[in-house]
Amino acid sequence: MSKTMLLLAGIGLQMAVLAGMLVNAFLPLWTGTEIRLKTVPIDPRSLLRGNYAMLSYEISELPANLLPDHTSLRFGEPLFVSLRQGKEGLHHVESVTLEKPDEGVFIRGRYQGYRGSVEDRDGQGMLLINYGIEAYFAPKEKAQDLESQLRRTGAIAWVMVASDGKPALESIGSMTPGASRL
Amino acid sequence: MRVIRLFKRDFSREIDEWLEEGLITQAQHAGILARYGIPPGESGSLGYRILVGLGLFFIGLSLITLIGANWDEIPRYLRTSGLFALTAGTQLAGWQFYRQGHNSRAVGALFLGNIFYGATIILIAQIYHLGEHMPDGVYWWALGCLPFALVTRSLLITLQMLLLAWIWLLLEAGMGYFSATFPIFIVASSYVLRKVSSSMLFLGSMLGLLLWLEFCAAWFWSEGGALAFELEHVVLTAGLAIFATGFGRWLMARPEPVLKDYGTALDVWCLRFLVLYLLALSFESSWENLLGAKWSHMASLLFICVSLWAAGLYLAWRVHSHYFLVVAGLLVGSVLTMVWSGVLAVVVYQLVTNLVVVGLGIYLVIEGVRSHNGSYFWTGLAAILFLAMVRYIDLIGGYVGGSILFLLIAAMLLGAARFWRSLEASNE
Repeated sequence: MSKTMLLLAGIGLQMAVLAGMLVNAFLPLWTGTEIRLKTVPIDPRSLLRGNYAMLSYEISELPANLLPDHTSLRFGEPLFVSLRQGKEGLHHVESVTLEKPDEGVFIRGRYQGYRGSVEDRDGQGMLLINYGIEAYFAPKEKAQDLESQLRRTGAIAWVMVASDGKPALESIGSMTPGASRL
Repeated sequence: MRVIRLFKRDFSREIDEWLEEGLITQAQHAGILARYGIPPGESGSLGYRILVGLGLFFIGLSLITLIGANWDEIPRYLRTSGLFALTAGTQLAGWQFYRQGHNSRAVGALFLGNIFYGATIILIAQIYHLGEHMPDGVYWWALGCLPFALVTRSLLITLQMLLLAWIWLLLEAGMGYFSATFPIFIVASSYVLRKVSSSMLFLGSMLGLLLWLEFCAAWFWSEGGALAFELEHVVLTAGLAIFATGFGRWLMARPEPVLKDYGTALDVWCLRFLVLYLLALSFESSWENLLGAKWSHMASLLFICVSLWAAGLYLAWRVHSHYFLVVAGLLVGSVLTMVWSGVLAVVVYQLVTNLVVVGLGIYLVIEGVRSHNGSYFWTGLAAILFLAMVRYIDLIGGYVGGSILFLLIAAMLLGAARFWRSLEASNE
């Protein structure tokens, strides 16, 4: 293969990577099931990606006793959190497993650490989990407004979950009854 | 005589003038250039190339900053397709320039296209609120630059790829992850180094590799958990520094001028690192931590370090480098005392380290003057003065102890001066 063809292949690789990222981001939004999660926004700034409100979810920290095997968890290991819808329409944790559940609504996250007594790991501590939906990008002023407004009223995140548990953040909004998405 | 990279350009201009003035013949001119590994025409366009590279970099930075504004007013599809088109268009322009043989223009366009490619990754993450493991985006950015570095073998694009790979490596390690595939970027840089000579690229690759080896050990010792940097890494770093010094000394003894350049650059940076390493050990708290440490991975640590020392010493022995034995002696001595804890008081270790820094400083000053090597001279002088400043603020054993230490340092300096004078007298 000549050098010019290799260069063209390099351009093709870049385009393929970008297209793959786009499809990966779109897939849960196209095919997923909508869930609603309680969240709290905080306002940091990413040097590379602009301004965003950082979101912490009710399911970001879960009691370790939900997962009997938690002592052998490795950093970054995938976890599946099964969810059930409560009366108020929000989704809450039902169980945590290392295997993908066969049915029901579940979301995939990654184990980030353990908060509590490291020595005994007696299940009284909390599992820290990251789902990849922790950043909500917005212009600087909007991100700050979101933070102060949603901290007052409480916030809901609308998330689409694909059949393999991969989530995509669709929008966030106030917990005030009747309030619309932002 | 050592001729470092930047000085080579001045030297090249100088011998061009000798040729113009008829002091040397064309054949002698070519012979001198070949002796120092200077490509013909080297003196010309560095400034121009740096300015163009910076200009293109700032065009890219301007776009990334604009994306940072999160322009909600522009529809998603328009923002995404606009950046896709900009990236593809710029890269295709680079490809067209390359086909036509305009290599400099092609490199400029591809460099800019790579920045647009990264900006598109950032925009996709922003539009779709992707918060999942941000270093992955930097990895794909670096990987996207790799084919262009390999095909064009351009220094600019290879440095761009390597810088992104470095950022990815550090971001991953900062979040506790191990970047297993980092060496592919080092291999790509090494491939480019076979055609392009650049001490900066060589040092970037070499230091990247050494850092990656540190992270390998952190991953191995963490047993699959988040990377954890324990006191073992202080010892491992010494082992890697010894190996790098030996490798640098070995390169310096190669007949090829470009390898001599790389060896010199590596040697100078290892030396600076050694001084900083010893300065860090000149504090009481450093020794308290080291001597009170519980070494959890002693067997594997010693195995790795002994292998590195052996490899470094072998390389230096091959080229009969007596200087290297001084460096190795210092580091091995420091390291052995770390693992041989509890025998002497902390203050003894601290005192010895301080005197070693002064001794090394004196050696470097004398060696720098003797061999007309500015790097040695200034590093040695800086080590002594910096140590004096630090010890004035952070006294050893109170005011009396500090005063005695300063007297000891003064005696060493004056003794060295006397030795220097007698050496000069005997030479005359």
